[in-house]
Amino acid sequence: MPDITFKLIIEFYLLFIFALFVFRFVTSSKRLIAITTVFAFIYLISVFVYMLDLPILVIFFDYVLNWIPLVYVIVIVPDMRLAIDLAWKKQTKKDNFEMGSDQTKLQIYDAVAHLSNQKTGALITIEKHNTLDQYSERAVLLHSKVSKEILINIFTPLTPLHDGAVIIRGDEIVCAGAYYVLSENEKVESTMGSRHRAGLGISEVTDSLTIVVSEESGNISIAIEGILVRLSEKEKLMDYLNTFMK
Amino acid sequence: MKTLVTILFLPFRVLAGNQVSGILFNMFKKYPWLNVILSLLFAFATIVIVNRG
Repeated sequence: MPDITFKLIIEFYLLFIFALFVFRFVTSSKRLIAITTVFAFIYLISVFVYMLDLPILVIFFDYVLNWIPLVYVIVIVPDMRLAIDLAWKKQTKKDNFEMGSDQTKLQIYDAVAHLSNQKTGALITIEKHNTLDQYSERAVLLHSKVSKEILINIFTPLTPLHDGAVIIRGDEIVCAGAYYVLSENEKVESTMGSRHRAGLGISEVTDSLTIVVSEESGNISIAIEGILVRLSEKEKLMDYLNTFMK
Repeated sequence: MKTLVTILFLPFRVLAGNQVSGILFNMFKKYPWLNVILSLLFAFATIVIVNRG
């Protein structure tokens, strides 16, 4: 047993924090646990190989064990990105946030109803606590007042901005043509389009509300907190907007 | 041949399967302090092993 010195306490503390960070990350999802147990099993095999001193396998594991950490990191990259995004979600929570007026709600509702009737695809995100600046910075900034006409115009097919998302903050359209990271949720239908996946993706990493209008069916869906809800009636959209934009 | 391959890959399939990861995931969700205990054990074991070496 080593003598307990100040240096040792510091080392113990830092090792503990590092291990806690890693364990909490690894045990945060089933996928990560499954991947980690398989890699841990390979390490366990290598321990037996070195203990039994199996000559060929020792050479084999000398190579394998050098590469395994790199392979592991590559495999878990999507989970690391999600974990960083979720940590960012907590970090970027603003205390003060502005919500749109009743007029803005009405303009959004009218625009979405029109787009749905016309079967025009649309993706509209309404910001709340978490800033969406990192997405708007790479999009086309508009800073215009929310209006039905502008929203319809943005999503008109074959126009330059129709494929991306519109971000709304308060009573203002911040930008159009924004692109999100698609959701990798395995529970959603495999036939779901990229617009719906994008809406779901942004709802997983921020506390925003995203309205998705399907190009094929004209159906309206709402993505919030990682859940996608298909609205049976257009009128329900107003209820969602009223609840969210309080 | 198919059975042989199944048997050979069985440990990996079990470990990567839904059951083992499901049990572990639920366990850590129910008892989050297990992470703290494991981290303490890890830190302690590392210091002991390194100092012994």
